[in-house]
Amino acid sequence: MTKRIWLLPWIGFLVSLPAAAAWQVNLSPGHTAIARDIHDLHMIIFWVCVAIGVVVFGVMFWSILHHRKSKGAEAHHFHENTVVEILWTLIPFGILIAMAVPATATLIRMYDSTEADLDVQITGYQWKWRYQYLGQDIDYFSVLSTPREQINNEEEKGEHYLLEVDNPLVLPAGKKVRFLLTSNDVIHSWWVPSFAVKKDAIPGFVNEAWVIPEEPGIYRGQCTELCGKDHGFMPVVVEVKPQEEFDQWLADAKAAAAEQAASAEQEWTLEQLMQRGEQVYNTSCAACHQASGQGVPGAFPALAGSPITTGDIDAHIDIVLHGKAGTAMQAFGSQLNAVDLAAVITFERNAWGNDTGDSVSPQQIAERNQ
Amino acid sequence: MAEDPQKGGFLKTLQSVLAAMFGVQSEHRRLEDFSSHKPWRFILMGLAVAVVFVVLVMLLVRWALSLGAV
Amino acid sequence: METTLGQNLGDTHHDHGPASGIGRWLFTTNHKDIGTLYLWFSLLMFLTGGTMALLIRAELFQPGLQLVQPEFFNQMTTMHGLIMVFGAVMPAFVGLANWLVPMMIGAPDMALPRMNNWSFWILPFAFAMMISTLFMEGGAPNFGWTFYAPLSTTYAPPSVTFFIFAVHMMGISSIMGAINVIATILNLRAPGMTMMKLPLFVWSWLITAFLLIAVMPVLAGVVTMMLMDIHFGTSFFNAAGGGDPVLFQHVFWFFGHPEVYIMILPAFGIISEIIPTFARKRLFGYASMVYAIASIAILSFLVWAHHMFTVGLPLAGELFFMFATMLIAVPTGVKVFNWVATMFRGSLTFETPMLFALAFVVLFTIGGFSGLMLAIAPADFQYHDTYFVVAHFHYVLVPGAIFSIMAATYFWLPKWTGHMINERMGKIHFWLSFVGVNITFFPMHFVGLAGMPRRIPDYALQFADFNSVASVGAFIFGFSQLLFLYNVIACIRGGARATDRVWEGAHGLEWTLPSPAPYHSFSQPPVVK
Repeated sequence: MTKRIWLLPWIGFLVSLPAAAAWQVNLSPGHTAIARDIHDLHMIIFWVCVAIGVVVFGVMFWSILHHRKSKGAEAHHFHENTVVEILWTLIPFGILIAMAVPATATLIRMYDSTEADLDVQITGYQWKWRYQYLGQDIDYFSVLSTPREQINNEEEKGEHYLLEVDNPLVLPAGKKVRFLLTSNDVIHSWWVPSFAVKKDAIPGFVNEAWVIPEEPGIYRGQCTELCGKDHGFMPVVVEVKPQEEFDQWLADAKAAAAEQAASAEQEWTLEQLMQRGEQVYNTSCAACHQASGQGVPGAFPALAGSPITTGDIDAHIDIVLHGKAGTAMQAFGSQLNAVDLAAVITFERNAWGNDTGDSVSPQQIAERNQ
Repeated sequence: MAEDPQKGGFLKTLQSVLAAMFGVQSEHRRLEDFSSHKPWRFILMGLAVAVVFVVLVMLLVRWALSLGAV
Repeated sequence: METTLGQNLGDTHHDHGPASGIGRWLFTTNHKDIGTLYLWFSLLMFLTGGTMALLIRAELFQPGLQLVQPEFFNQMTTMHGLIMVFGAVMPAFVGLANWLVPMMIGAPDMALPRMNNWSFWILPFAFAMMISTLFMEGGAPNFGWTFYAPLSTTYAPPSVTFFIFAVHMMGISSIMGAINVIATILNLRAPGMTMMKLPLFVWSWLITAFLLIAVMPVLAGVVTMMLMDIHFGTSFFNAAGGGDPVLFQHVFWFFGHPEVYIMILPAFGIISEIIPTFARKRLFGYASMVYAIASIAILSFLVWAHHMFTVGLPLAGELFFMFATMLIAVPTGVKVFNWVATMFRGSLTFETPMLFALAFVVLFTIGGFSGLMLAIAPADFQYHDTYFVVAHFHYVLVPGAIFSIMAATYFWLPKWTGHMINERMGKIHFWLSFVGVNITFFPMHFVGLAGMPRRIPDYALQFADFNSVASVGAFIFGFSQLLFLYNVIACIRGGARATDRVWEGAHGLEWTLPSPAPYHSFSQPPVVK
């Protein structure tokens, strides 16, 4: 008995396998009526395929086993039977027509985005999402919050690795929410599997989708249209709250926005700006220009020692505010508030040995952003 | 344009094209079709049937939408 | 079409043999030499694209970024797709057509031999240019093999211009190849080889050639529009200038969907030659097969937008393409039944080409099933752009198109070289490929349904297990292709003498020629009864 003690860890390992590993093999049923309908359609067509497969492969393997020459099988020379062919074409036709009926019904419901209680505009950016609650004065970005160290394998990966953001989209439970999707640059696609909502966000056009989230909770998805370098790093996180909590969140968010606006008036020291600027840089700029400020040769220019970040302040402010046409450089004037803009420009002018000593104030930004 | 007084005519060509789209044809009819040396008959009929197919599917869509009351 | 057995002496006389030295290959107008060039080029591209696939799978073996950075990962997925579609599968089929069509219809050579030479020799330059973009500043194209605008226009690396030029050259090459195939089949058939006696491989290639001529200009058009947008200030795909990014997708898939058939119809033809041979029985429903393939030439143009169910098509459009797709899928899908019926009550043997053909039938059908699921538009909202789609089209293209090419190689190689292949090695290659392919691509269905998007260099932890399984499978499949290379070289250099007939159940004009086939196939047209 004692000799077998070495088996114990192995047994422990085997027992823990199913728990530790997520061997999910199927679509999850989802958390909305539409998602469940789609899941049902998926299961029906799946079993239809299995049934056809059993018959076809059954006949095939029967032939392989029994009609082999080594068993003395002689070829029977038949090579046509129009009736049989017509039958095996008609049967799948019938099945598919039967499938088309519920599929059409579901599709028609998916396209009915009328009578929404809340409208949210979703704009795709390289590589983040912007959520604007129409008529509510709430407007914010949602950026991946998984630390770089986890991605580079320098740290243990968290439970929601790559599926976590700083500011999730917050929705009320039980209300019909309509999404208006568009994009600022390339085509993105906004997907939450639990809601069965997947719609492309296309620059210059607005697509519609809708959801009635049933239960409060956190739902995670990803961008599903290749949108450039960090396509894999722009998750979608939706937090569904009960109505009262949602109302509270709405009120808090509005108050925070007002506070933000006030802070643009106050005086900021170089240190404060540098500190805040580094955070802003890491969420908004580092994806392209890199945390080191070195950029990616040939694709994204370096900021360390660049004529822009060490030269004329106004030119620097302008390129950040208005972007650069024909390149991936976005116009951040409409994305970031004056404090963040001031902070990040200050940071860029003093980090990585740029050391210009310049400090840009939020007021200066507001002036040029007229 | 593709008049072929030779044999069969319109109806037979139509039958052959429909059989092609359905994907089943008998050896007997194939021999008959290929004894005609006017492929254009079949190609033009194929294009025409494709147009009819498109129209039919469009009508089907219309009908489905009217049922779904959208 | 009876063949004569027992003549394995070969090469009794010909007017002149191949030239010697490199000039033979540079200036050749011989269909066999050009076929050989195409096939070797395709194998080289297959191994190149495969190496890129292995790099992708190695990066995806575990979550986190280990080997490559996201920008290079995107270049790899793009180049892998482009090289495999335009460099491996399509040239391989053209190579097979070059070798086989004249032999099957009793012709001395292809109808347009000089153009044949040109259409091959464009290709190495096109691909050299495309692959050279990897070493350019800003990197290679990184927008996926479907190159959706505006990622491929306004936001593309500078190398996109080289990519556009390379696509134009590939298109010219394909169109010339297609014209040649059509001219050969329509004009050079031996007396008595009427259209209705054509082998299915020839039929399927005839239809494929027409499809190529119809859609390659569309592809050329769409890349030209990109070129105009990038360099000449037009706004075809730029909403700010009055254009529409979705227009790109419509034009691309109007090319792209027939392209799918271009890559699978010749495979249908090959499988329809191989299964009857080893079942010692005629193909079941030859007439239906020919008719169905012919109608695809028209119907495949009516379903392109089923690749675009999530772009926000109007409801009526969505329904149209769902219905059309479902209706058109059935007649082509059920052709699998014909192969099964051909095997039924036959007298089967299982040489290497037959094993690949059987695997084709089973695995292509699985790819067909997932295609059926993708056709259900509402469900497609969950499948679209996930690994489920990756699994689907790899099942259609790898154990579909690629297996059919390997089956064809093993099937006709004895005729080409005069040596039998080493059956034992062939079977080892088959089983490793079969197991590898399934370990690689089957788990992709699972991670796709669980919610993993395609074209991402890193993924959430719940996808980790199946991804490492898929990566292990990819390395098994990838390295087992070295065996294929070995088998082919070994068969060229030696091996048991092949008879003229080669396979007991073989039918068709190519088997009446000596093995190896003489440099000029039929100098005297054979008479087909």
